[in-house]
Amino acid sequence: VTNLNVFLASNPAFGDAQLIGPTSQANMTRRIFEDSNTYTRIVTDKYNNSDFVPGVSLCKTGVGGGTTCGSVTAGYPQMFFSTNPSVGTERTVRNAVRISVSNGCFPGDSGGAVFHRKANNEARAAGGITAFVTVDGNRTTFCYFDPVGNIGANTNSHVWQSPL
Amino acid sequence: LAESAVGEGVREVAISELDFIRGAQSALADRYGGMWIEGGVYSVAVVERTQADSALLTSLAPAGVTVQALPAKYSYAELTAFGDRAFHALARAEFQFSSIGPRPQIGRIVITVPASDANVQYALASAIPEDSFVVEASNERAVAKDLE
Repeated sequence: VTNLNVFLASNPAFGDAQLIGPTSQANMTRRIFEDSNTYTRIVTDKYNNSDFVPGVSLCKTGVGGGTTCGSVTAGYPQMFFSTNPSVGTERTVRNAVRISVSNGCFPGDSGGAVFHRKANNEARAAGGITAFVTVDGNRTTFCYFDPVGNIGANTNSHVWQSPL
Repeated sequence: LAESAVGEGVREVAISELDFIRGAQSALADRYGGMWIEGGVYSVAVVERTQADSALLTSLAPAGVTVQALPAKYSYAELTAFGDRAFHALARAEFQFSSIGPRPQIGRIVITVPASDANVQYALASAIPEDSFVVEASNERAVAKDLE
């Protein structure tokens, strides 16, 4: 349940958790890798779309920018117009949530888990990173993510039934 | 709220926060105008707010949490629907936008565009109530990273 973006360059044997099931009825992985190859959290809970109100504390993890934290700045559902300079594509993305995290998001973070840190190495799943925001060409701390509920609905995957 | 340090200044909040968010939305139903959390204060926008709403929200909140009920003209569902209509209005007129979404703190949807002018305002005002949106001009761009 990964793609090439999520493997650590320093050790390709390890990658970020992905919340996206590749096939119908797939179970999402419950493991979220933080910062290193060894520290993991287990997803034991998840947000509903309407839970994403401004101020909710979330973290994201990804190969590009590592694990950083912040909060929701614009609740569900946000629309944004995005570009992908690498391939020159443009598209309108609906039903996203906007967050601000320390240092922002970077190429390679895409698909990385967005989550709330809970006690006992547990996490509440929030979604997967999709884009970062620039102003005047400069990276900001703002990023967008796709909520876990929509990922589940769109892929018919499930975060609950995965084996540990 | 029960909080404990879990790193990087992010508060670990027990189930109380989600309980309150969901409880307030359920209790207010169609009158729910949105919510935001700032400085430990939970603010809830309520359409046709009454004094009873403040008491209701306080009863739902965990002990020690500050909750305020603020007046709202439009419900969150209405703001979301306005956002969709704004998007279609801009698309029909072939105007670019950077982002569109509800901002309960001001009771409106916020539309970010590369350049705001009278034509953009007119296109939007033709589609949604004039007091339901704010247009912000910004060179903001969202960069999709999925294939990078």
